[in-house]
Amino acid sequence: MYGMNEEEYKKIYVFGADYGTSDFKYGPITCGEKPEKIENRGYFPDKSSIMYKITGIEKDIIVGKDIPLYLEAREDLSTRLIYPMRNGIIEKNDEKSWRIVKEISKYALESFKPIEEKFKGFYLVASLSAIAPKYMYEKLFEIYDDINKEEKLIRAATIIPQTLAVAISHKVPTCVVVESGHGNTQVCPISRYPIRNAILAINRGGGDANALTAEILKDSGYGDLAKEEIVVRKIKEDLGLIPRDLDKAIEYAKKNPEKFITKYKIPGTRIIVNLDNYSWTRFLIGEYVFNPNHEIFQSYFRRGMPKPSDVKIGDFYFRGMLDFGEAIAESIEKCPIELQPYLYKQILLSGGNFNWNVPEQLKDIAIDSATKIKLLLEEKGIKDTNVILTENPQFSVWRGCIVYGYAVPYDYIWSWDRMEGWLKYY
Amino acid sequence: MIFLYEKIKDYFLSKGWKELKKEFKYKKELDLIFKDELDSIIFVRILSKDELIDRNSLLDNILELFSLKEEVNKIYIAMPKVYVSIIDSSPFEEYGIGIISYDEKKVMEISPAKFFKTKSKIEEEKMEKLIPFETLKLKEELDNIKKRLINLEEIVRSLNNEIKILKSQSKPIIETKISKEEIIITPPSSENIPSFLKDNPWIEILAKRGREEKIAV
Repeated sequence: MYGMNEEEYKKIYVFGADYGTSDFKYGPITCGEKPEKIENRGYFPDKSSIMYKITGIEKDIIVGKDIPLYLEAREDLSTRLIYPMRNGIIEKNDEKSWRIVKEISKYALESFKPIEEKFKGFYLVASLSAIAPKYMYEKLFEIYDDINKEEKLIRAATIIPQTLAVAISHKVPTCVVVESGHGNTQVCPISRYPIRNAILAINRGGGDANALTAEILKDSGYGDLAKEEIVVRKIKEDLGLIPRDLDKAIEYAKKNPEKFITKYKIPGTRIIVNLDNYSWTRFLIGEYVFNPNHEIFQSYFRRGMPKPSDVKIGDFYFRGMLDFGEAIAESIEKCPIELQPYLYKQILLSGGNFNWNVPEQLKDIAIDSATKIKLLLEEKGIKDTNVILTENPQFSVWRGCIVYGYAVPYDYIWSWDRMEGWLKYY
Repeated sequence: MIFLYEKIKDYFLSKGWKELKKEFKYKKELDLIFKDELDSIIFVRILSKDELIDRNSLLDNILELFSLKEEVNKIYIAMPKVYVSIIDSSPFEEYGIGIISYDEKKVMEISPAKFFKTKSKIEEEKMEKLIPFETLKLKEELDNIKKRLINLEEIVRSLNNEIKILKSQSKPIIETKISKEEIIITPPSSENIPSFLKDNPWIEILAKRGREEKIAV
């Protein structure tokens, strides 16, 4: 290989691929600090449409940055534009989603394919949700094999859980990673290896906070806005607050409404939202994410808001109403007793669902995610914890993949027992 | 209908085109005529739901409008959005007539109109053929320069890629020497390595994978 041994070759051609719920981050080690990013989605054009005929599209599936150019103003758009990893898991027989995964992977690898002759394929490190079942690993390896049949782009591949990648990129070998995305939340203890038996999944994520925000908007007279998912999410992100103590925060907000009433203008529109007498509900949005068990939420469930339920997806039971503090404690308690104190000392919060505003003037009653988790653990008698909100959460998984591929020896062969190592293709 | 008429008119005016009050054969009350920045003349016929009930009516309109091709440069038919999604587009493509869809919310171009050369343009082109030989030679030179520029851009792009790869080869990010018996890991030697690789304890941990006893967890 042009005077280079395999280990040296691997280090040059490590390639990271983070299959996130909304975005797909990808690129080789030469990308430096930031990878490329596209939305983790694919579009199946309507072959019978005028647009299809006129534009002469040859592909029956479109991925990547060009998707918006192909979208049609059709009612069935929601069935054609598919986000395969919305909940971190793809059903075994969901052929459309797997096709998107293949196209996205191929798109990523082709876009960085070097032109030099010595290139014999990338050492690909892919990252999936910690709750991804084994069949997803099998399927992904098969997809890589298929890609190689068309063009030899992958010399070897491995797959690691996203939570492990987060711990690696944050340089913490012993910790608990809590990853909270749109659909669910996972708690994964790590001690050099992910402790798979202790992973705990919660059927609650940013989407549930959106549902509550929509109810609050309806109550405040903005029923029309409540139907627009993007608007609801924006309002949640900009107005939602995490209370230090929900009862005290509500009492304070009702006594001092002037401190909470905000005329919020939706960017790029003329719409102004003013929650007015309902401004105290801003605290409900944040509390609901971390702990939905307060009796105040019952009235919303009674009026039809879906209650996060316990479900089984893949190999995991997802708990609906478990508060985040209890979830972390339960997960850590499944680990060896000697290890537990070390895990409580490094709790990493990762994912978009942990990004909340703390207005300067409300600092006494509104807090950030890390403080809230700390308080929830204290309520359970667990003190001396260290909770950290990760920096650059959107790239940390990709970075972890690059470190993993760089350091793991090329001759460490994939094992289905350990779920680790390189699967060699040629 | 008047509201929609104004909406469609605004759509074209927003492109910076000017409305013309010119008269044409077959011009109806709701037809629109515009002139764009290149002085091309664009004819737009707006069809309502009622006019589209009869399939012959659509074909009649296409044929009627096609006969204007020597007088105007582009021809469009504007139809309600719901009809655009169900009609057969082939006659439009065949005759080079563009399609505009409209509803209460939005006006949009679904397919572009073909550019027709008007009688006066054809005359102009005949004149162009009489351009002196020197001018044609200059045009040819210009085309050659353009091609060479595109080639050069391609070469610069591939050189950039090679430089990236060479940089990573000449300055290994971290020296990690691995053998079955012994693992020697030296600290990062370069200041240019990504921050997440610098002083990362996982490098040492992961480099031992497969070379240490399995940690039973």
